[in-house]
Amino acid sequence: MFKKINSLMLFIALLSYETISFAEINLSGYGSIVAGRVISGDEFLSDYPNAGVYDSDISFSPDTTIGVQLIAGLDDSLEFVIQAVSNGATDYDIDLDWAYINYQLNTELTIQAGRKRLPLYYYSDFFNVGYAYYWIRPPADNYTWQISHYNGLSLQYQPYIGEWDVLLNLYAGREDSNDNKLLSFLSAVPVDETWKNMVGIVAEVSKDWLEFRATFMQGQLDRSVNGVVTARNVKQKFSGISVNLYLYEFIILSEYNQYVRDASDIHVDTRMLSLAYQLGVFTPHLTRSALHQKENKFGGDEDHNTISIGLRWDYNKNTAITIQFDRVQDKGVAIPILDDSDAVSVGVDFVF
Amino acid sequence: MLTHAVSVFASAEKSVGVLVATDSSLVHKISILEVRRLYLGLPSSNGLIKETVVNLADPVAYKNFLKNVMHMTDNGYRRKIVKRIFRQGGRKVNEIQDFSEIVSYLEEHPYAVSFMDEETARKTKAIKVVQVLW
Repeated sequence: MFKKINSLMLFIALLSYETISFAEINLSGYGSIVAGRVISGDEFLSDYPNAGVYDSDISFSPDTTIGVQLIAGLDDSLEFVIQAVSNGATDYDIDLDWAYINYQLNTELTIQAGRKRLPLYYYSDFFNVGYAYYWIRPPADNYTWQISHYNGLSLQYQPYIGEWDVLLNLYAGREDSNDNKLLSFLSAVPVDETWKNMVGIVAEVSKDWLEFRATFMQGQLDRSVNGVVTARNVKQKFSGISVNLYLYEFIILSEYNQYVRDASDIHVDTRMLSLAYQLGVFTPHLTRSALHQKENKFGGDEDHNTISIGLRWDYNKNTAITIQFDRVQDKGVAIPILDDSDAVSVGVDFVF
Repeated sequence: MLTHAVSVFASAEKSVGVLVATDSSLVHKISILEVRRLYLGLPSSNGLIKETVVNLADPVAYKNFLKNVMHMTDNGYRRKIVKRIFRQGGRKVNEIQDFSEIVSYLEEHPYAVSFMDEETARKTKAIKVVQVLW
């Protein structure tokens, strides 16, 4: 583990050294060191995109993440952003979450070209940044998708209207994922997946006590299973809304999403509701999340939900300690994921 | 005792917070919404202000700043900044816990601003009040 993380640090250091002569460099990072185990049942799939799985042995791998971000300001309007991430679930291989050029057209409008995280869900953009939310991980039933990135163009418009912060993000791109981690894990054979011709929009408005987010994406899918093409140019659509309320010490977070792939008769609903109460530096929370895919004409279904109870302790301004219990009910008949399970995990989240 | 408590409460109620810069700075008054935007790490239409400094040397001023300018709790502000940094490639916001270091920083960075209570600002040489924040 540490050998690979050292490689990550060396990579960033070399990159900094190479670019420091002509650019203003800004370095920051985050990490989550998490240990957990299943206490009832066999396995708990905690990180779908990276196929991070707990079993009855204590493990640090499924949720432990280290990330480093480097921003090189090339001039007042142009900068290069790179974020390298190492996940325990992928044996601490180093992946590029973000690698793009950002050009500021004016104070409210920016355009980016390169690799970015795919902003389907509310937490998709910062899924790996454990410090930014009170859970050990965003509710697993919601974050079940095999593709988490895209390569392409993105336009962001951030005006403020009265007391409202506004973010509009229009994006287009594609992602080719050979031997996709999640699909290959679930199928037990290599699966190659491409999401192409993706066009999406995200709209966020927020003020002191309210956040509202709406998202829509459509595109096409290609898939081959063990070298056999099983889908080509299949249309897919994703839509979702999130509403978050911050009422004094009370926090209410919610999310509802729909995914439709008509040609395969796949209709998936995911939802999440979370309640928390801030007691000074402590934030106890309770969450229920669910994924429901109705049984289709090909016999496929998927149906699981999770109840999570946890506590976040903001130890200092850059560090939080979290503990969480998750109870998964897996009701899928044709596509059971990993059956019912209870799991406990403890973590330390930090930013620097 | 009661009289003292009442006077402390009255003092807190009357607290005035200001935006400050070094006295040679060309930074001028902007709207409170623009100040909020700058402290969220977003660019401002006032191109003169390049940096913001969070004053952690005065917990009362910081609390009033969060309440009156940012309209959020300390935890909420931190989470918002972290999200901004790692999902949009934002830069870290400067946080300084020592008052003399804040003054020094402003002197060295004429396009930087910070906040403090008005009385402290008036007593401090080498800085000027840009505007009242609360």
